[in-house]
Amino acid sequence: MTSPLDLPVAEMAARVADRHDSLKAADLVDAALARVRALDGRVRAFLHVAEEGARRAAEALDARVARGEAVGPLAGVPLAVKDNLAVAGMPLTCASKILGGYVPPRDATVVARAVAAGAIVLGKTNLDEFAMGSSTENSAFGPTRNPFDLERVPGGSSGGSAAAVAAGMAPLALGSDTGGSVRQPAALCGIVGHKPTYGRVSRSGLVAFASSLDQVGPFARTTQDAAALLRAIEGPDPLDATSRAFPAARPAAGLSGLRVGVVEELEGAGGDPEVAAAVGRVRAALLARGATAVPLSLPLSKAGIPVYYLVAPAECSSNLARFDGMRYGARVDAPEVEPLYARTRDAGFGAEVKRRVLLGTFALSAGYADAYYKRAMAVKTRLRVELAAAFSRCDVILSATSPFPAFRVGEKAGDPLSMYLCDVLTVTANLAGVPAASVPAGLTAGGLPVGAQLWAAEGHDDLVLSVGAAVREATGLGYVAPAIAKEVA
Amino acid sequence: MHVTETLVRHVARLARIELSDGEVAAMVPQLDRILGHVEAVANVDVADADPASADAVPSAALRPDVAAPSLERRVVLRNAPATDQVFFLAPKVLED
Repeated sequence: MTSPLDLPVAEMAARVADRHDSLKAADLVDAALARVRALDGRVRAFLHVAEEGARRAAEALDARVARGEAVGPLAGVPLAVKDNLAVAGMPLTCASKILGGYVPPRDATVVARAVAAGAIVLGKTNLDEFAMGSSTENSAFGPTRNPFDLERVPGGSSGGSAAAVAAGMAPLALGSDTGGSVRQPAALCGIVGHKPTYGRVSRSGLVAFASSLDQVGPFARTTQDAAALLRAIEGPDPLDATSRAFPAARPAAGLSGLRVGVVEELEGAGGDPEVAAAVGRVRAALLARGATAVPLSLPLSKAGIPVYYLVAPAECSSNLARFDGMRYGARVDAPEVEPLYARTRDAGFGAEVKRRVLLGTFALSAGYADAYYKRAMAVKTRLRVELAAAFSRCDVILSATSPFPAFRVGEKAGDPLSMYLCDVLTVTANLAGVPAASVPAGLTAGGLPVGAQLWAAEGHDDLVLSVGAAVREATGLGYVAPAIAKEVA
Repeated sequence: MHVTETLVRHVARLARIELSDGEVAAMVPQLDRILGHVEAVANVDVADADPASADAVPSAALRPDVAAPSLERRVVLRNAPATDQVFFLAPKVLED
Protein backbone atom coordinates (compact mmCIF):
# COMPACT_ATOMS: atom_id res chain seq x y z
CA MET A 1 0.00 0.00 0.00
CA THR A 2 1.83 3.06 -1.20
CA SER A 3 -0.82 5.72 -0.74
CA PRO A 4 -3.87 6.20 1.51
CA LEU A 5 -5.74 6.95 -1.74
CA ASP A 6 -5.60 3.23 -2.49
CA LEU A 7 -7.51 2.26 0.68
CA PRO A 8 -11.13 1.12 0.47
CA VAL A 9 -13.36 4.20 0.68
CA ALA A 10 -15.00 3.13 3.96
CA GLU A 11 -11.60 2.75 5.62
CA MET A 12 -10.27 6.01 4.20
CA ALA A 13 -13.32 7.91 5.47
CA ALA A 14 -13.33 6.19 8.88
CA ARG A 15 -9.70 7.15 9.41
CA VAL A 16 -10.32 10.77 8.39
CA ALA A 17 -13.33 10.89 10.74
CA ASP A 18 -11.21 9.62 13.64
CA ARG A 19 -9.59 12.66 15.25
CA HIS A 20 -6.89 10.44 16.78
CA ASP A 21 -5.84 9.01 13.42
CA SER A 22 -2.96 10.68 11.60
CA LEU A 23 -4.70 10.53 8.20
CA LYS A 24 -6.35 13.83 7.29
CA ALA A 25 -8.62 14.88 4.45
CA ALA A 26 -5.87 17.33 3.47
CA ASP A 27 -3.46 14.41 2.95
CA LEU A 28 -5.91 12.66 0.63
CA VAL A 29 -6.52 15.82 -1.38
CA ASP A 30 -2.79 16.55 -1.63
CA ALA A 31 -2.11 12.99 -2.77
CA ALA A 32 -4.89 13.17 -5.37
CA LEU A 33 -3.69 16.55 -6.67
CA ALA A 34 -0.13 15.19 -6.92
CA ARG A 35 -1.39 12.31 -9.07
CA VAL A 36 -3.39 14.70 -11.25
CA ARG A 37 -0.28 16.82 -11.77
CA ALA A 38 1.84 13.78 -12.59
CA LEU A 39 -0.59 11.99 -14.90
CA ASP A 40 -3.28 14.23 -16.30
CA GLY A 41 -1.11 15.95 -18.87
CA ARG A 42 -1.20 12.59 -20.66
CA VAL A 43 -4.62 11.20 -19.66
CA ARG A 44 -6.56 14.51 -19.84
CA ALA A 45 -9.38 13.30 -17.63
CA PHE A 46 -10.05 16.71 -16.08
CA LEU A 47 -11.41 19.87 -17.67
CA HIS A 48 -11.13 21.80 -14.41
CA VAL A 49 -9.11 20.99 -11.28
CA ALA A 50 -10.42 22.74 -8.17
CA GLU A 51 -7.04 22.78 -6.47
CA GLU A 52 -7.64 25.64 -4.08
CA GLY A 53 -11.29 24.81 -3.38
CA ALA A 54 -10.49 21.17 -2.67
CA ARG A 55 -7.71 22.14 -0.25
CA ARG A 56 -9.99 24.60 1.55
CA ALA A 57 -12.80 22.03 1.81
CA ALA A 58 -10.37 19.43 3.17
CA GLU A 59 -9.01 21.80 5.79
CA ALA A 60 -12.53 22.74 6.85
CA LEU A 61 -13.45 19.07 7.19
CA ASP A 62 -10.31 18.33 9.19
CA ALA A 63 -11.15 21.26 11.49
CA ARG A 64 -14.62 19.83 12.10
CA VAL A 65 -13.11 16.46 12.97
CA ALA A 66 -10.64 18.15 15.32
CA ARG A 67 -13.56 19.86 17.09
CA GLY A 68 -15.14 16.45 17.62
CA GLU A 69 -17.96 16.95 15.11
CA ALA A 70 -19.45 13.97 13.31
CA VAL A 71 -18.62 13.79 9.60
CA GLY A 72 -20.17 11.57 6.95
CA PRO A 73 -19.34 8.18 5.43
CA LEU A 74 -17.33 9.77 2.59
CA ALA A 75 -15.27 12.02 4.89
CA GLY A 76 -12.31 13.42 3.01
CA VAL A 77 -12.71 11.18 -0.06
CA PRO A 78 -11.71 13.01 -3.28
CA LEU A 79 -14.52 12.96 -5.85
CA ALA A 80 -14.28 13.66 -9.58
CA VAL A 81 -17.48 15.06 -11.14
CA LYS A 82 -18.51 14.71 -14.78
CA ASP A 83 -18.74 18.16 -16.29
CA ASN A 84 -22.46 17.92 -17.07
CA LEU A 85 -23.24 18.13 -13.33
CA ALA A 86 -23.40 21.51 -11.61
CA VAL A 87 -20.92 22.40 -8.88
CA ALA A 88 -21.56 25.92 -7.58
CA GLY A 89 -18.78 28.28 -8.52
CA MET A 90 -16.99 25.90 -10.92
CA PRO A 91 -17.32 26.26 -14.70
CA LEU A 92 -19.88 23.88 -16.26
CA THR A 93 -19.10 23.18 -19.91
CA CYS A 94 -20.69 19.86 -20.95
CA ALA A 95 -17.52 19.81 -23.10
CA SER A 96 -19.33 22.22 -25.43
CA LYS A 97 -18.44 25.65 -26.74
CA ILE A 98 -22.06 26.74 -26.41
CA LEU A 99 -21.86 26.96 -22.61
CA GLY A 100 -18.71 29.12 -22.81
CA GLY A 101 -18.13 30.82 -19.46
CA TYR A 102 -21.19 29.43 -17.67
CA VAL A 103 -20.78 29.09 -13.90
CA PRO A 104 -23.77 27.52 -12.15
CA PRO A 105 -25.15 29.25 -9.08
CA ARG A 106 -25.89 26.03 -7.18
CA ASP A 107 -24.83 22.40 -6.78
CA ALA A 108 -26.55 19.46 -8.44
CA THR A 109 -28.42 17.45 -5.80
CA VAL A 110 -25.99 14.54 -6.15
CA VAL A 111 -23.02 16.86 -5.61
CA ALA A 112 -24.62 18.52 -2.58
CA ARG A 113 -25.39 15.09 -1.09
CA ALA A 114 -21.91 13.69 -1.72
CA VAL A 115 -20.36 16.80 -0.17
CA ALA A 116 -22.73 16.57 2.80
CA ALA A 117 -21.44 13.00 3.25
CA GLY A 118 -17.90 14.39 3.42
CA ALA A 119 -16.64 13.99 -0.17
CA ILE A 120 -14.26 16.64 -1.50
CA VAL A 121 -14.86 17.76 -5.10
CA LEU A 122 -11.52 17.49 -6.87
CA GLY A 123 -12.67 18.86 -10.21
CA LYS A 124 -14.77 18.41 -13.35
CA THR A 125 -14.11 15.66 -15.86
CA ASN A 126 -14.18 15.46 -19.63
CA LEU A 127 -17.06 13.92 -21.59
CA ASP A 128 -18.47 13.62 -25.06
CA GLU A 129 -20.25 16.93 -25.70
CA PHE A 130 -23.57 16.89 -23.80
CA ALA A 131 -22.87 13.19 -23.03
CA MET A 132 -23.41 12.22 -26.69
CA GLY A 133 -20.83 9.64 -27.63
CA SER A 134 -19.04 6.46 -26.58
CA SER A 135 -15.38 7.52 -26.65
CA THR A 136 -14.96 11.01 -25.09
CA GLU A 137 -13.61 12.13 -28.47
CA ASN A 138 -16.62 14.41 -29.09
CA SER A 139 -15.30 16.98 -26.62
CA ALA A 140 -14.71 20.59 -27.63
CA PHE A 141 -11.59 20.38 -25.42
CA GLY A 142 -10.00 17.29 -26.99
CA PRO A 143 -10.16 13.60 -26.17
CA THR A 144 -9.41 11.83 -22.89
CA ARG A 145 -7.00 8.89 -23.15
CA ASN A 146 -7.35 5.39 -21.72
CA PRO A 147 -4.91 4.98 -18.79
CA PHE A 148 -4.23 1.39 -19.92
CA ASP A 149 -3.13 2.54 -23.39
CA LEU A 150 -2.84 6.24 -24.17
CA GLU A 151 -3.43 5.56 -27.89
CA ARG A 152 -6.91 4.26 -27.07
CA VAL A 153 -10.19 5.82 -25.94
CA PRO A 154 -11.48 5.49 -22.36
CA GLY A 155 -15.02 4.92 -23.61
CA GLY A 156 -17.75 7.47 -23.07
CA SER A 157 -19.50 9.56 -22.57
CA SER A 158 -18.22 9.72 -18.95
CA GLY A 159 -14.68 8.89 -20.10
CA GLY A 160 -12.99 11.52 -17.95
CA SER A 161 -14.55 10.22 -14.75
CA ALA A 162 -13.69 6.61 -15.63
CA ALA A 163 -10.09 7.47 -16.57
CA ALA A 164 -9.63 9.54 -13.39
CA VAL A 165 -10.61 6.57 -11.20
CA ALA A 166 -8.70 4.01 -13.28
CA ALA A 167 -5.50 6.09 -13.15
CA GLY A 168 -5.86 6.45 -9.37
CA MET A 169 -6.39 10.21 -9.46
CA ALA A 170 -9.71 9.93 -7.57
CA PRO A 171 -11.15 6.97 -5.63
CA LEU A 172 -14.70 7.95 -6.60
CA ALA A 173 -16.34 9.73 -9.51
CA LEU A 174 -19.81 10.68 -10.70
CA GLY A 175 -21.02 10.12 -14.24
CA SER A 176 -24.31 10.04 -16.09
CA ASP A 177 -25.67 7.07 -18.05
CA THR A 178 -28.28 7.60 -20.78
CA GLY A 179 -27.40 4.61 -22.98
CA GLY A 180 -24.32 3.16 -21.28
CA SER A 181 -22.22 6.26 -20.51
CA VAL A 182 -21.20 5.03 -17.05
CA ARG A 183 -20.97 1.27 -17.70
CA GLN A 184 -19.12 1.29 -21.04
CA PRO A 185 -16.24 3.57 -19.93
CA ALA A 186 -16.05 1.62 -16.64
CA ALA A 187 -15.60 -1.56 -18.72
CA LEU A 188 -12.99 -0.02 -21.03
CA CYS A 189 -11.04 1.38 -18.04
CA GLY A 190 -11.23 -1.73 -15.84
CA ILE A 191 -13.30 -0.30 -12.97
CA VAL A 192 -16.83 -0.56 -11.55
CA GLY A 193 -19.59 1.64 -12.97
CA HIS A 194 -23.23 1.48 -11.94
CA LYS A 195 -26.36 2.78 -13.70
CA PRO A 196 -28.99 2.96 -10.95
CA THR A 197 -32.67 2.17 -11.39
CA TYR A 198 -34.41 5.06 -13.17
CA GLY A 199 -35.73 7.32 -10.40
CA ARG A 200 -33.34 6.18 -7.65
CA VAL A 201 -31.02 9.18 -8.04
CA SER A 202 -32.04 12.82 -8.58
CA ARG A 203 -31.06 14.52 -11.83
CA SER A 204 -31.55 18.05 -10.54
CA GLY A 205 -28.44 19.93 -11.65
CA LEU A 206 -27.58 17.37 -14.34
CA VAL A 207 -27.75 19.01 -17.77
CA ALA A 208 -30.57 17.07 -19.42
CA PHE A 209 -29.85 14.94 -22.50
CA ALA A 210 -32.73 12.42 -22.75
CA SER A 211 -34.87 12.83 -19.67
CA SER A 212 -36.70 9.49 -19.83
CA LEU A 213 -33.33 7.68 -19.83
CA ASP A 214 -30.79 9.86 -17.96
CA GLN A 215 -29.53 8.59 -14.62
CA VAL A 216 -26.54 9.65 -12.50
CA GLY A 217 -24.26 6.84 -11.34
CA PRO A 218 -21.05 6.12 -9.42
CA PHE A 219 -17.60 5.01 -10.60
CA ALA A 220 -15.23 3.25 -8.19
CA ARG A 221 -12.57 0.56 -8.01
CA THR A 222 -14.86 -1.86 -6.15
CA THR A 223 -18.58 -2.50 -5.85
CA GLN A 224 -18.36 -1.68 -2.12
CA ASP A 225 -16.93 1.76 -2.89
CA ALA A 226 -19.57 2.32 -5.60
CA ALA A 227 -22.29 1.33 -3.13
CA ALA A 228 -20.93 3.85 -0.60
CA LEU A 229 -21.31 6.67 -3.15
CA LEU A 230 -24.73 5.41 -4.27
CA ARG A 231 -25.93 5.41 -0.61
CA ALA A 232 -24.87 9.06 -0.32
CA ILE A 233 -26.60 10.33 -3.48
CA GLU A 234 -29.78 8.22 -3.79
CA GLY A 235 -33.28 9.04 -2.59
CA PRO A 236 -36.23 11.25 -3.47
CA ASP A 237 -35.59 14.91 -4.22
CA PRO A 238 -38.35 17.53 -4.49
CA LEU A 239 -36.37 19.07 -7.38
CA ASP A 240 -36.70 15.94 -9.61
CA ALA A 241 -40.28 14.70 -9.96
CA THR A 242 -39.12 11.32 -11.29
CA SER A 243 -37.06 10.59 -8.16
CA ARG A 244 -38.58 8.24 -5.61
CA ALA A 245 -37.87 5.93 -2.71
CA PHE A 246 -37.31 2.22 -3.20
CA PRO A 247 -38.01 -0.45 -0.61
CA ALA A 248 -35.09 -1.40 1.58
CA ALA A 249 -32.55 -3.60 -0.15
CA ARG A 250 -33.02 -7.31 0.12
CA PRO A 251 -30.16 -8.92 2.01
CA ALA A 252 -27.10 -9.63 -0.09
CA ALA A 253 -27.82 -12.93 -1.74
CA GLY A 254 -25.22 -15.66 -1.68
CA LEU A 255 -24.39 -17.30 -4.96
CA SER A 256 -26.02 -20.56 -3.97
CA GLY A 257 -29.27 -20.81 -5.90
CA LEU A 258 -28.78 -17.44 -7.60
CA ARG A 259 -30.50 -17.63 -11.00
CA VAL A 260 -28.23 -16.09 -13.64
CA GLY A 261 -29.97 -15.24 -16.90
CA VAL A 262 -28.02 -15.83 -20.10
CA VAL A 263 -29.62 -14.00 -23.00
CA GLU A 264 -29.33 -15.75 -26.34
CA GLU A 265 -29.43 -12.49 -28.34
CA LEU A 266 -26.67 -10.85 -26.28
CA GLU A 267 -24.18 -13.71 -26.41
CA GLY A 268 -21.22 -12.62 -28.48
CA ALA A 269 -23.34 -9.85 -30.07
CA GLY A 270 -20.99 -8.84 -32.86
CA GLY A 271 -18.24 -8.98 -30.32
CA ASP A 272 -14.65 -9.73 -29.72
CA PRO A 273 -13.87 -13.38 -28.87
CA GLU A 274 -11.69 -12.33 -25.92
CA VAL A 275 -14.63 -10.41 -24.44
CA ALA A 276 -16.95 -13.39 -24.90
CA ALA A 277 -14.35 -15.67 -23.28
CA ALA A 278 -13.91 -13.33 -20.29
CA VAL A 279 -17.66 -13.18 -19.66
CA GLY A 280 -17.80 -16.96 -20.07
CA ARG A 281 -15.17 -17.33 -17.32
CA VAL A 282 -17.21 -15.10 -14.99
CA ARG A 283 -20.29 -17.19 -15.66
CA ALA A 284 -18.42 -20.45 -15.06
CA ALA A 285 -17.09 -19.13 -11.74
CA LEU A 286 -20.60 -18.19 -10.60
CA LEU A 287 -21.99 -21.58 -11.59
CA ALA A 288 -19.11 -23.35 -9.84
CA ARG A 289 -20.16 -21.57 -6.63
CA GLY A 290 -23.75 -22.76 -6.78
CA ALA A 291 -25.51 -20.34 -9.11
CA THR A 292 -27.74 -21.77 -11.83
CA ALA A 293 -27.84 -20.64 -15.44
CA VAL A 294 -31.22 -19.71 -16.92
CA PRO A 295 -31.24 -19.54 -20.72
CA LEU A 296 -33.39 -16.62 -21.88
CA SER A 297 -34.48 -15.01 -25.08
CA LEU A 298 -35.06 -11.25 -25.37
CA PRO A 299 -35.98 -10.92 -29.07
CA LEU A 300 -36.71 -7.19 -28.72
CA SER A 301 -33.23 -6.43 -27.40
CA LYS A 302 -32.24 -6.47 -31.09
CA ALA A 303 -34.39 -3.37 -31.50
CA GLY A 304 -32.58 -1.64 -28.63
CA ILE A 305 -30.25 0.49 -30.76
CA PRO A 306 -32.95 1.58 -33.26
CA VAL A 307 -35.33 2.51 -30.40
CA TYR A 308 -32.61 4.27 -28.44
CA TYR A 309 -31.35 6.28 -31.42
CA LEU A 310 -34.85 7.60 -32.05
CA VAL A 311 -36.01 8.24 -28.46
CA ALA A 312 -32.76 9.77 -27.15
CA PRO A 313 -32.24 12.18 -30.09
CA ALA A 314 -35.93 13.18 -29.97
CA GLU A 315 -35.62 14.10 -26.30
CA CYS A 316 -32.25 15.81 -26.82
CA SER A 317 -33.62 17.94 -29.65
CA SER A 318 -36.19 19.24 -27.19
CA ASN A 319 -33.86 19.57 -24.17
CA LEU A 320 -31.14 21.36 -26.13
CA ALA A 321 -33.59 23.96 -27.45
CA ARG A 322 -32.74 25.96 -24.32
CA PHE A 323 -29.28 26.76 -25.69
CA ASP A 324 -30.29 29.80 -27.71
CA GLY A 325 -27.71 32.45 -26.82
CA MET A 326 -30.13 34.43 -24.65
CA ARG A 327 -29.85 33.50 -21.00
CA TYR A 328 -26.45 31.86 -20.65
CA GLY A 329 -23.42 30.72 -22.58
CA ALA A 330 -22.08 31.86 -25.91
CA ARG A 331 -23.89 34.08 -28.43
CA VAL A 332 -23.24 34.89 -32.07
CA ASP A 333 -24.85 38.29 -32.54
CA ALA A 334 -27.23 39.04 -35.39
CA PRO A 335 -29.61 41.92 -36.08
CA GLU A 336 -32.64 39.64 -35.83
CA VAL A 337 -33.52 36.97 -33.33
CA GLU A 338 -33.94 33.94 -35.63
CA PRO A 339 -30.47 34.19 -37.20
CA LEU A 340 -29.05 34.87 -33.73
CA TYR A 341 -30.43 31.53 -32.53
CA ALA A 342 -29.38 29.62 -35.64
CA ARG A 343 -25.84 31.06 -35.83
CA THR A 344 -25.26 30.64 -32.11
CA ARG A 345 -26.32 27.00 -32.32
CA ASP A 346 -24.25 26.32 -35.44
CA ALA A 347 -21.13 27.83 -33.87
CA GLY A 348 -21.73 26.43 -30.39
CA PHE A 349 -22.65 22.79 -31.02
CA GLY A 350 -20.21 20.17 -32.28
CA ALA A 351 -20.91 17.81 -35.20
CA GLU A 352 -22.32 14.90 -33.15
CA VAL A 353 -24.69 17.13 -31.19
CA LYS A 354 -25.97 18.67 -34.42
CA ARG A 355 -26.44 15.21 -35.92
CA ARG A 356 -28.54 14.07 -32.97
CA VAL A 357 -30.56 17.28 -32.76
CA LEU A 358 -31.36 16.95 -36.48
CA LEU A 359 -32.19 13.25 -36.16
CA GLY A 360 -34.48 13.95 -33.19
CA THR A 361 -36.10 16.96 -34.84
CA PHE A 362 -36.82 14.77 -37.87
CA ALA A 363 -38.25 11.95 -35.72
CA LEU A 364 -40.64 14.43 -34.06
CA SER A 365 -41.55 16.44 -37.16
CA ALA A 366 -44.98 16.65 -38.76
CA GLY A 367 -45.58 13.69 -41.04
CA TYR A 368 -42.84 11.52 -39.49
CA ALA A 369 -43.57 11.46 -35.73
CA ASP A 370 -45.97 8.48 -35.95
CA ALA A 371 -43.63 6.28 -37.98
CA TYR A 372 -40.50 7.13 -35.99
CA TYR A 373 -40.88 8.60 -32.49
CA LYS A 374 -44.25 7.10 -31.53
CA ARG A 375 -43.35 3.76 -33.02
CA ALA A 376 -40.06 3.73 -31.07
CA MET A 377 -41.93 4.56 -27.84
CA ALA A 378 -44.32 1.68 -28.45
CA VAL A 379 -41.41 -0.72 -28.96
CA LYS A 380 -39.87 0.66 -25.75
CA THR A 381 -43.05 -0.33 -23.89
CA ARG A 382 -42.88 -3.85 -25.33
CA LEU A 383 -39.22 -4.10 -24.38
CA ARG A 384 -39.98 -3.17 -20.75
CA VAL A 385 -42.62 -5.89 -20.57
CA GLU A 386 -40.27 -8.43 -22.14
CA LEU A 387 -37.51 -7.64 -19.65
CA ALA A 388 -39.86 -7.69 -16.65
CA ALA A 389 -40.96 -11.19 -17.71
CA ALA A 390 -37.31 -12.24 -17.93
CA PHE A 391 -36.73 -11.12 -14.34
CA SER A 392 -39.54 -13.36 -13.15
CA ARG A 393 -37.34 -16.27 -14.28
CA CYS A 394 -33.90 -15.06 -13.13
CA ASP A 395 -32.37 -12.83 -10.44
CA VAL A 396 -29.69 -11.21 -12.55
CA ILE A 397 -28.70 -11.18 -16.21
CA LEU A 398 -25.00 -11.53 -17.01
CA SER A 399 -23.65 -10.20 -20.31
CA ALA A 400 -20.68 -8.28 -21.61
CA THR A 401 -20.80 -4.50 -21.14
CA SER A 402 -19.12 -3.53 -24.40
CA PRO A 403 -18.80 -5.81 -27.44
CA PHE A 404 -15.07 -5.00 -27.63
CA PRO A 405 -12.28 -3.58 -25.49
CA ALA A 406 -10.99 0.00 -25.90
CA PHE A 407 -10.52 1.00 -29.53
CA ARG A 408 -7.95 3.42 -30.93
CA VAL A 409 -8.47 7.17 -30.82
CA GLY A 410 -9.88 8.14 -34.23
CA GLU A 411 -10.80 4.58 -35.21
CA LYS A 412 -14.56 5.17 -35.28
CA ALA A 413 -14.59 8.95 -35.53
CA GLY A 414 -15.54 9.03 -39.21
CA ASP A 415 -18.48 6.65 -38.88
CA PRO A 416 -21.23 7.77 -36.49
CA LEU A 417 -23.28 4.56 -36.88
CA SER A 418 -20.35 2.32 -35.90
CA MET A 419 -19.93 4.47 -32.77
CA TYR A 420 -23.65 4.05 -31.99
CA LEU A 421 -23.26 0.26 -32.14
CA CYS A 422 -20.84 0.44 -29.16
CA ASP A 423 -23.99 0.80 -27.03
CA VAL A 424 -25.66 -2.41 -28.25
CA LEU A 425 -25.36 -4.18 -24.86
CA THR A 426 -26.11 -1.20 -22.62
CA VAL A 427 -29.09 0.73 -24.03
CA THR A 428 -31.67 -1.90 -23.10
CA ALA A 429 -31.24 -1.30 -19.35
CA ASN A 430 -31.89 2.43 -19.89
CA LEU A 431 -34.93 1.82 -22.08
CA ALA A 432 -36.36 -0.52 -19.43
CA GLY A 433 -35.32 1.64 -16.44
CA VAL A 434 -33.56 -1.24 -14.68
CA PRO A 435 -30.26 -1.12 -12.75
CA ALA A 436 -27.07 -2.47 -14.32
CA ALA A 437 -23.41 -2.37 -13.38
CA SER A 438 -20.16 -3.12 -15.16
CA VAL A 439 -17.54 -4.95 -13.10
CA PRO A 440 -13.95 -5.85 -14.06
CA ALA A 441 -13.65 -9.23 -15.81
CA GLY A 442 -9.91 -9.35 -16.45
CA LEU A 443 -7.63 -8.16 -19.23
CA THR A 444 -7.20 -9.22 -22.84
CA ALA A 445 -3.91 -10.74 -24.00
CA GLY A 446 -3.01 -7.21 -25.09
CA GLY A 447 -3.59 -5.88 -21.56
CA LEU A 448 -6.89 -4.08 -22.16
CA PRO A 449 -9.69 -4.31 -19.55
CA VAL A 450 -12.92 -6.21 -20.19
CA GLY A 451 -16.16 -5.56 -18.29
CA ALA A 452 -18.96 -7.94 -17.33
CA GLN A 453 -22.41 -6.43 -17.00
CA LEU A 454 -24.94 -7.45 -14.34
CA TRP A 455 -28.55 -6.35 -14.65
CA ALA A 456 -31.47 -6.85 -12.28
CA ALA A 457 -35.13 -5.94 -11.97
CA GLU A 458 -36.18 -2.37 -11.13
CA GLY A 459 -35.09 -1.35 -7.62
CA HIS A 460 -32.60 -4.18 -7.15
CA ASP A 461 -29.47 -2.07 -7.31
CA ASP A 462 -28.08 -3.71 -4.20
CA LEU A 463 -28.45 -7.15 -5.71
CA VAL A 464 -26.48 -6.01 -8.77
CA LEU A 465 -23.68 -4.64 -6.59
CA SER A 466 -23.59 -7.59 -4.19
CA VAL A 467 -23.42 -10.08 -7.07
CA GLY A 468 -20.67 -7.85 -8.47
CA ALA A 469 -18.78 -8.31 -5.20
CA ALA A 470 -19.36 -12.07 -5.46
CA VAL A 471 -17.95 -12.05 -9.00
CA ARG A 472 -14.75 -10.55 -7.63
CA GLU A 473 -14.56 -13.17 -4.88
CA ALA A 474 -15.34 -16.06 -7.21
CA THR A 475 -12.98 -15.03 -10.00
CA GLY A 476 -10.27 -13.13 -8.17
CA LEU A 477 -10.70 -10.47 -10.88
CA GLY A 478 -11.00 -6.85 -9.86
CA TYR A 479 -9.46 -3.45 -10.46
CA VAL A 480 -5.77 -3.58 -11.27
CA ALA A 481 -3.83 -0.34 -11.58
CA PRO A 482 -2.55 0.45 -15.09
CA ALA A 483 1.20 0.87 -15.55
CA ILE A 484 0.87 4.66 -15.71
CA ALA A 485 -0.59 4.75 -12.19
CA LYS A 486 2.41 2.94 -10.80
CA GLU A 487 4.68 5.84 -11.76
CA VAL A 488 3.39 7.91 -8.84
CA ALA A 489 2.94 7.39 -5.11
CA MET B 1 -36.78 7.06 -46.12
CA HIS B 2 -34.24 8.62 -48.44
CA VAL B 3 -32.45 11.61 -46.91
CA THR B 4 -31.94 14.55 -49.28
CA GLU B 5 -30.35 17.98 -48.95
CA THR B 6 -33.83 19.49 -48.97
CA LEU B 7 -34.84 17.36 -45.99
CA VAL B 8 -31.67 18.22 -44.05
CA ARG B 9 -32.20 21.96 -44.70
CA HIS B 10 -35.86 21.69 -43.62
CA VAL B 11 -34.99 19.88 -40.38
CA ALA B 12 -32.08 22.26 -39.65
CA ARG B 13 -34.48 25.20 -40.00
CA LEU B 14 -36.91 23.54 -37.56
CA ALA B 15 -33.99 22.96 -35.15
CA ARG B 16 -32.75 26.57 -35.53
CA ILE B 17 -29.25 25.54 -36.61
CA GLU B 18 -27.74 27.48 -39.52
CA LEU B 19 -25.69 24.76 -41.21
CA SER B 20 -23.09 25.67 -43.80
CA ASP B 21 -23.38 24.09 -47.26
CA GLY B 22 -20.48 21.82 -46.37
CA GLU B 23 -22.23 20.67 -43.18
CA VAL B 24 -25.43 19.94 -45.11
CA ALA B 25 -23.54 17.90 -47.68
CA ALA B 26 -21.78 15.87 -44.97
CA MET B 27 -24.98 15.33 -43.02
CA VAL B 28 -26.95 13.80 -45.94
CA PRO B 29 -25.14 10.42 -46.17
CA GLN B 30 -24.66 10.21 -42.39
CA LEU B 31 -28.34 10.71 -41.54
CA ASP B 32 -29.29 8.43 -44.43
CA ARG B 33 -27.19 5.60 -42.99
CA ILE B 34 -28.43 6.17 -39.42
CA LEU B 35 -32.10 6.35 -40.48
CA GLY B 36 -31.62 3.21 -42.54
CA HIS B 37 -30.60 1.44 -39.34
CA VAL B 38 -33.19 2.84 -36.91
CA GLU B 39 -36.04 2.18 -39.35
CA ALA B 40 -35.91 -1.39 -38.00
CA VAL B 41 -38.47 -0.22 -35.41
CA ALA B 42 -41.03 -0.50 -38.21
CA ASN B 43 -40.59 -4.29 -38.23
CA VAL B 44 -41.67 -4.79 -34.60
CA ASP B 45 -45.28 -5.71 -33.96
CA VAL B 46 -46.59 -3.08 -31.55
CA ALA B 47 -50.31 -3.74 -31.96
CA ASP B 48 -50.94 -4.06 -28.22
CA ALA B 49 -48.42 -1.51 -26.95
CA ASP B 50 -49.36 1.95 -25.81
CA PRO B 51 -46.58 4.43 -26.60
CA ALA B 52 -47.58 6.63 -23.64
CA SER B 53 -47.06 3.81 -21.13
CA ALA B 54 -43.37 3.68 -22.02
CA ASP B 55 -43.03 6.33 -19.33
CA ALA B 56 -40.91 4.45 -16.82
CA VAL B 57 -42.23 5.95 -13.63
CA PRO B 58 -45.63 5.90 -12.00
CA SER B 59 -46.73 9.51 -11.70
CA ALA B 60 -44.89 10.97 -8.76
CA ALA B 61 -46.75 12.66 -5.95
CA LEU B 62 -46.78 16.39 -6.43
CA ARG B 63 -44.79 18.32 -3.90
CA PRO B 64 -46.57 20.92 -1.79
CA ASP B 65 -47.05 24.24 -3.56
CA VAL B 66 -44.94 26.31 -1.18
CA ALA B 67 -43.27 29.56 -2.17
CA ALA B 68 -39.51 29.37 -1.80
CA PRO B 69 -36.82 31.93 -2.51
CA SER B 70 -35.58 31.97 -6.10
CA LEU B 71 -32.17 33.01 -7.36
CA GLU B 72 -31.30 36.68 -7.09
CA ARG B 73 -31.52 38.63 -10.31
CA ARG B 74 -27.85 39.60 -10.35
CA VAL B 75 -26.89 35.92 -9.94
CA VAL B 76 -29.07 34.90 -12.87
CA LEU B 77 -27.91 37.73 -15.12
CA ARG B 78 -24.24 37.06 -14.40
CA ASN B 79 -24.24 34.16 -16.91
CA ALA B 80 -26.11 35.97 -19.69
CA PRO B 81 -24.31 37.12 -22.85
CA ALA B 82 -26.09 40.50 -22.92
CA THR B 83 -28.08 42.31 -20.21
CA ASP B 84 -28.84 45.83 -19.01
CA GLN B 85 -28.55 44.65 -15.38
CA VAL B 86 -32.34 44.23 -15.22
CA PHE B 87 -33.33 42.32 -18.37
CA PHE B 88 -31.75 39.89 -20.85
CA LEU B 89 -31.09 41.81 -24.07
CA ALA B 90 -32.30 40.36 -27.37
CA PRO B 91 -32.77 41.75 -30.89
CA LYS B 92 -36.06 43.52 -31.40
CA VAL B 93 -38.88 41.17 -32.46
CA LEU B 94 -41.71 43.73 -32.78
CA GLU B 95 -41.77 46.78 -35.02
CA ASP B 96 -42.12 50.21 -33.39
